[in-house]
Amino acid sequence: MERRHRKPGEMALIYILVFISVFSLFAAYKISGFSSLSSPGAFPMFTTIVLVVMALGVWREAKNLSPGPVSGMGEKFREVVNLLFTREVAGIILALVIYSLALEILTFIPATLLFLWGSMLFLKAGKWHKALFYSILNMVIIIVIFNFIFKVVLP
Amino acid sequence: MIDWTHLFLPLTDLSLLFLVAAGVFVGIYVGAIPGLSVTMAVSLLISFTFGWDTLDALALMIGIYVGGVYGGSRSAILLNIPGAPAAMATSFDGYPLAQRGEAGTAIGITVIQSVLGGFLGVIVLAFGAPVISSFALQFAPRDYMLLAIMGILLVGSMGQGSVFRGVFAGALGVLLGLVGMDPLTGQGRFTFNTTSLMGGINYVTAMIGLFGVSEALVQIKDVNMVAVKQKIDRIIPTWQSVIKYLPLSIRTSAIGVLIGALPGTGGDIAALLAYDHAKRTVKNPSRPFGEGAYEGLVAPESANNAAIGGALIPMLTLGIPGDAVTAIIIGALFIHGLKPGPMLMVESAHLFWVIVGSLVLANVFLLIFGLTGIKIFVKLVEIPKAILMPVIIVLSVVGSYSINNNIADIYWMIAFGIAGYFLKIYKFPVGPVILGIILGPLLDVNYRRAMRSVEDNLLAFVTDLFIHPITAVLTIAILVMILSQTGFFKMIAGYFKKEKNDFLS
Repeated sequence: MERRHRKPGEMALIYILVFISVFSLFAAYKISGFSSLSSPGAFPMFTTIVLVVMALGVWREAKNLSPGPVSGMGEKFREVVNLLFTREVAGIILALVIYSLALEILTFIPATLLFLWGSMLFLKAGKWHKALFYSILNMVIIIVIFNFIFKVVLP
Repeated sequence: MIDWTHLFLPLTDLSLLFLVAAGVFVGIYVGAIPGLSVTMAVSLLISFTFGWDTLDALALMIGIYVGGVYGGSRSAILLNIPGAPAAMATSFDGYPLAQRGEAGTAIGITVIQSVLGGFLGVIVLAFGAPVISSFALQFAPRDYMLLAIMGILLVGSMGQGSVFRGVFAGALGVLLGLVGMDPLTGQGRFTFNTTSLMGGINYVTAMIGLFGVSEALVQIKDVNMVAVKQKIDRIIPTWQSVIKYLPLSIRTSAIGVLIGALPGTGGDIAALLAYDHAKRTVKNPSRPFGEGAYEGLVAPESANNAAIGGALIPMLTLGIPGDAVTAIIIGALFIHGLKPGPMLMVESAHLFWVIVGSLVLANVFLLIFGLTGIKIFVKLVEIPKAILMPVIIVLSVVGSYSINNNIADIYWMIAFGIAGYFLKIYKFPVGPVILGIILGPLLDVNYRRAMRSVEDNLLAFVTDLFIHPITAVLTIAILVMILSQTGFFKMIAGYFKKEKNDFLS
């Protein structure tokens, strides 16, 4: 199905991708310049040229779509935030970052239990005791499966 | 020559038998639950089965692959939410059938057709792969390079979104695959003088982030979406209906095998093309397509399971993935010290026959598990996302840590997960990124070998692309693929179509 208008923040992302592509092209050039066609930098340069061309193609396609109904920087910024970072997504990303940092401080079992319980409560999986039950149940299943069946070292 | 001992090993070795069965069972439910995917499950499995015997790990992955490709059809039928991309075409007629109270019949048809397609794919794999493998020994580095380019172009151009986005994603993956130490000279590339990047980007971590965490975040955006429930009865189809649809089933299975065998394309594209074929060729469907036609289930379901056997052909014989799942399985083979390609069939031929045997067994278990346990399935699919998604995230953390027991891999996984989430929101496909990460180093090394063989002479390199038969075929195929996307080609095609219409009228 053809899209009729750009999503909020789409052009900004595309500009970022064009920038990354051009930056990568320079980084590829710095590997070995134009020294030879079989140098370590030759194929990276070819790849990054394709990346730049495709990024410009994406830019052109998006330019041809009609912009969304919203105007004004403030409104547009709010639309981008509403699209990308709903309450649930923002909360879980934050929880995930905290969880990964907490793994080294609290160790796996307490950090994971807190993450599971907190996330389920935050996502409104049910009352606190129901979320705690599911967290503990999943924790036990994970430990049994990964410690005893897969013999994986847990974080 | 068939190695019967290893072909029957999955049947005679109890642990392999159990692992194939467990894989199919788990795969059906993983494929069926929207938000989980076969690619996610197999990418997590690579890290979890790292310490296992290679055959055990492969048996489990093959089982999950077969079960998962079928499993997506269940939620497509019952909930109108395809559990896997390969089941998208199944929902066109599957859900309308369920709305008519024929969900059981729909499920029965999808199981039988998946098994029939799966068996056809295995037969082609068993007899075709050894032939292709001996033929592949004649492949030069430039041929591997062209096949890898074809794979990225195919997966980038035949997906749902724009070609530019698809090929951009593929090129991005190739770029990520080049990060680290150059395998031929030891020079750092895209490392920015950072020691930690000299080892490159761990593709398993990238896979888990791009397929696991990013999808969990996308699902969390719609965390309150409620599934619609359906009544299930009359599952097992009659023999008459199986025989009636057999000609269509064989044709669409053939489409599935061919599409699966092309590097970069898999069950999802096979299913869509098969559905399109059925619409064009079936003159009197049971009902109009889109309103619950049985043929609308037969075609995609036989094609997507046949594509499994097809996808394994380039994976095993050339070391080039047939789709995203086989890209991950290649990663698993590397981790176990094996190198997929023509020499695999020479040095580790037993592995090939064990895979074929596992596939046959997996299709048998698919028949058993597919026709049973529907009520359990309905309960599982109703698990709220608020409970399921945090568990998926924890599994992703465990999986990425278990590769090197390095906490930094978790941070990389989170970064890929968030990047993948942004890409998905803005309609960039992530499948090509993974394919690119796997194919990037292969492309680079083969390009440089091909270039060095002509002593960096560009004219000789280009000439070689057209004068050697195998290379010429691949070059022309790639040129056609590229040109078919341009306005010039479409104008020419439109001119010929007008000429044909004028001639016929």
